Amino acid sequence: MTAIELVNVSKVFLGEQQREVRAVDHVDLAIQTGEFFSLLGSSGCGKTTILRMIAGFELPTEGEVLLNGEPMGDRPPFHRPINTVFQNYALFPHLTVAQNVAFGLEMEGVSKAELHARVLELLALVQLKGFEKRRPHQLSGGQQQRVALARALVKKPQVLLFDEPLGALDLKLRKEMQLELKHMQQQLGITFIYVTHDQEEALTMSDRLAVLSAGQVQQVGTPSEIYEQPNCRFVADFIGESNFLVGQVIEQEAAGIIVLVDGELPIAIPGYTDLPIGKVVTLVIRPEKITAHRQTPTDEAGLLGKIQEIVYLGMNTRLIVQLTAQSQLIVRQQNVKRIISPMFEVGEQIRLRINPDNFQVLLEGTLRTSVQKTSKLRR
Amino acid sequence: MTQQFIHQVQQKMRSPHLDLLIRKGMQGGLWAVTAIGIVFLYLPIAVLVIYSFNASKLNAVWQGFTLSWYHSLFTSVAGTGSDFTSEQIWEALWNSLQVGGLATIVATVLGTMLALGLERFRFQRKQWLEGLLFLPIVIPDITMGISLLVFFSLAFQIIEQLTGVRLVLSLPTIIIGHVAFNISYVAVTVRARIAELDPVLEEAAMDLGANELRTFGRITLPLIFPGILSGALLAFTLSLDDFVITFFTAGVGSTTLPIFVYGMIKQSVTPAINAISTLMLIASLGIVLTSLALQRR
Ligand SMILES: Nc1ncnc2c1ncn2[C@@H]1O[C@H](COP(=O)(O)OP(=O)(O)O)[C@@H](O)[C@H]1O
Ligand SMILES: [Mg+2]
Repeated sequence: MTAIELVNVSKVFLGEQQREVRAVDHVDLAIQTGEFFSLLGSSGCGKTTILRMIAGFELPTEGEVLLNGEPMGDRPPFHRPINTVFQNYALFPHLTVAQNVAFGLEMEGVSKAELHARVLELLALVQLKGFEKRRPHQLSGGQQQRVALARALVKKPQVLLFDEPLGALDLKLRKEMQLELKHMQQQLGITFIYVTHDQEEALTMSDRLAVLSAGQVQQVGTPSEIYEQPNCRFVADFIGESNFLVGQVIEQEAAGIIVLVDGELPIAIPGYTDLPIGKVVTLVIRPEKITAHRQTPTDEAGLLGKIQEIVYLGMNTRLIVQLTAQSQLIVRQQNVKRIISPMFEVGEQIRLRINPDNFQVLLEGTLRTSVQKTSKLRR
Repeated sequence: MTQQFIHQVQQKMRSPHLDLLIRKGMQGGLWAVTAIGIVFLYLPIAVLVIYSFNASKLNAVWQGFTLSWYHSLFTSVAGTGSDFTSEQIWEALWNSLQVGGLATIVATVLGTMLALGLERFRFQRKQWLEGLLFLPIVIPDITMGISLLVFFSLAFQIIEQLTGVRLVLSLPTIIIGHVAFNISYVAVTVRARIAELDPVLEEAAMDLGANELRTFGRITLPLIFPGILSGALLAFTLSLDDFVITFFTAGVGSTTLPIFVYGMIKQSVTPAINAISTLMLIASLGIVLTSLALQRR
């Protein structure tokens, strides 16, 4: 079932000097019930604005937000069964921890006895028993975070929204809270919509995620779909590290195509037989999916390249290899064995082997070949 | 030759010793100027307070310590040769408290609402209204007093022509005058507090099911309350101490304490005036300090 749906939603703000800012640009999203869904994008791409439209703090300029199939229209936040864990927690400074957690129940008119029991239950859930009488400023960041969580969960929301909830915590605490939130979500079965600019966080926690850029959804998918099959250069570049090789289809065979990269290097790709000859494509390959090998007289497999740079990184070694006049490849070599003396030297000619199945082919790109090279090709 | 000399001087000027000297001198100078400023501000007040304990009836000569001037404020009765009776003082004080209390309540409510409106709503030409807010603060008291006087006499004329009722200047007119200038002070003080309030807190309350009214009552009001109280105390002090505006809007029988003191001076300068002024000073100081402490909170 779909918990939250955004249909063609846009939000235009009037910024400085009445200039229009399109913070969210024709977004379509369908978030399933019980799903851990992340909105991932760099700062200013419209993540918070999307969240605020779901919560009801902003109304869409165009389009519609639906909850369980029902259009929300201009329903105010206090009439939506949705709760938010805010970026800096937004705890009420003049109320105690217990009063903060009780606030939402008081608004529902819950009886004193039940209210008390529920508050204690929630504080136990977030491991803050005994902190009832404290004020927010007497708590650490992590504890404040838990109070914010308890305060939202006590309402038994159908959907829980998070706006970069762990941004203010240090790395170790952040990792712990990531695990805890994920476990809690699985236990409670509540739909989580989680905004973050941290790709690692989004990949490790989410069932599915949407990658946003400039107010638009670039791709929606599971973490592995997003990482292994990016649908555009932006996503491939934004998530992890990617190599891009731009080329032109020059041959079609029964099993696949041949792409001429930078007008000089032919690479065979299985499949894509429907692509016409002359089509410009971008080949995406992740650095860890390339292996580097010493050149030997007998072994001719793989692409020939010259090492520009070697960086030892402990777990792996990062090589930058000049492949064609215009393109370099980044290669991540796992250090499966102890490296006592360097495997390669800068300036060395090596062979790079890539399983052609590991190329992701994007139907975009601009050829960078010079006029001279193109004419050579025609001949 | 001269070029070389100038160069040498410039070199000397750049020496670290000279820089240190300049710094020391500047620091010392700054201290001296500050001290002179403080003396200017507080010496007259110190004289006033000291002479309120002077046994002599003349302000100029010190003849020993006495509390009799304070005593006289509470005990003077008519026909004992004193220039005033304590009954008059109590009446003036009571008038002052009435004016201060009522003007403060009205100005605090209106000023708070004005502050909320200015801080929360976006509208065109908002800067103009913000500028107008400061007008009663910067405008000379005398201008304000005269304009109120002109306004009241005009209003009374119209009312008399329409209804035949003849109104005169009295306590209510003073109160209206005080409300008029106090609204600005309250609004400015409360606004500073609202500006510090994170609007996300109000959103959090609504997110948890509180409508606008309950959000205001449970979150906004408690959080800006120190600002409101501080603004109210400021308004109360200004109202208690005001002379000029009161002078123009007061009628017969509506003498406030500052007006009464002014009347006493016109008759004769006695150290009793020093005593009463000292008491007013202490009261105002106490209220203002409380107000400042609340703003810090
Ligand atoms: N209330 C507003 N008024 C004007 N512009 C806004 C407002 N809120 C957000 N924006 C603009 O919309 C864009 C997206 O903002 P936001 O949703 O906060 O991004 P993110 O959360 O991804 O960092 C930004 O360019 C921001 O400046
Ligand atoms: Mg944001």
